[in-house]
Amino acid sequence: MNDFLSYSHWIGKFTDKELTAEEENSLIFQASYNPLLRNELRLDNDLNELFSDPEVFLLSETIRKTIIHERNKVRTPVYLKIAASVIILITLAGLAGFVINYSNHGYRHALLAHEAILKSKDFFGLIPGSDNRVGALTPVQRRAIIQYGQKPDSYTPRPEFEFLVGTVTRDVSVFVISPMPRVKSRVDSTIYFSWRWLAGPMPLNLEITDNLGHVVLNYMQLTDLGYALNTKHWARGLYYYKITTGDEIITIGSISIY
Amino acid sequence: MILLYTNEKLVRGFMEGREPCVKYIYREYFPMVRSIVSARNGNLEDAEDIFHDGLIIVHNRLKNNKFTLNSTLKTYLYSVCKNLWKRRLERKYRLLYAADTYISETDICDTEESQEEESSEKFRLYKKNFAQMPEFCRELLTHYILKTPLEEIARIMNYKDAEYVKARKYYCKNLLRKKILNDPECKQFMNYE
Repeated sequence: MNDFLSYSHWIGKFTDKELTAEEENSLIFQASYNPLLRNELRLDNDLNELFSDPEVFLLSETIRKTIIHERNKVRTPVYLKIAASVIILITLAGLAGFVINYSNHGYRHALLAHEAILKSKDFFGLIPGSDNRVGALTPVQRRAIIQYGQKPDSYTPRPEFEFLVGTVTRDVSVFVISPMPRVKSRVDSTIYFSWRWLAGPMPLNLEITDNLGHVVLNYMQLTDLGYALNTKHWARGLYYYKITTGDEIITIGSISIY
Repeated sequence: MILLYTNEKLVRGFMEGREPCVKYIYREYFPMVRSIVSARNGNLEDAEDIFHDGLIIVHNRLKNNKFTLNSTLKTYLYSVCKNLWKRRLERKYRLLYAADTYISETDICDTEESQEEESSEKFRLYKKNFAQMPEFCRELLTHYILKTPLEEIARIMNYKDAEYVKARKYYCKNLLRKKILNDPECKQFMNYE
């Protein structure tokens, strides 16, 4: 056995022709009666032949590497891909909903705050019975607006303002000449507000809100006899103006810009 | 990244052993090989072996100008792999169920094709054992196969001199032979006696 092992170590040298003549003869002699040694000699010959072409060797390495690499790649089943896509879509839709809700939040807040003002006596406080007559949005409408961001059309009349249009209050210290209670105006035109004091000059406030109740213009302490309002950069829609003196409403009207 | 190759470019890249081409071939043609193999009860590993051997055979045939590629590489690879798998199954069957059956001289008369196929299989099995060798042996033998001069190997691997490289080479080759001789899969090729 030991002989076999030592001769086995000679095989490489034998192939490279590095054995002495004596060693070579000895190996051949051993191989003649030792099948294991013969097998190994042939295997060595095979190996030398097979690995003689570096190109094939490298190609085989590349193929093997590719196979292992591709096999170890995480292959996601189709159903998982579909599930992942659905989850992503739902997440995106949720995010979009959140963004829309968030952007509506200001609007909703304004709407609720506005309703609160309307219900309090700050806005229509001096108009008798106004508390009972304020026609806020129905719960269904409000829910629709809050949930789906369904804003009313910019020309949709606001009921709580609408029924007050043209109302002239009991304050007789100021007489509003223009505009008319319901004004229709084009974009980029001028609307003249004019008034006369009956009992001496008194500063006036002019407030204009859109049909959602957002204040778009608020002039305080007007002491002139009039005010020219240019609607050049105004969005088309329905607005409501309110002229007040300190704590009393003089008149309320609507301006429709088209 | 998906690259599209024409047949000529693909064959050229494959013959030069370019990795992107081999990857492309794998991605495009391996499912075909897999279906050939799985149609006859083969598993994924069988398919990978057939794919490897098929490509080596195609490479050798093209390199030795044994034929001109008139069809596409895919078609040729298909036929090579199909034959390869068929022969392998037949041999397996013979080994399992008909070991005692008398085989006439004409039956065992190997064609050039079957010799090629056997040599590609041998090559793969030897390489499998080669891959299981210690790292220094793999590196050393790879340099040896790539015909790097011994002095250069000594320099790269930080060995004393060329003589020491030779001694290590004999040691590693001896180790490889022993591994192959002890591998049951390789036994079928060891019937020299």
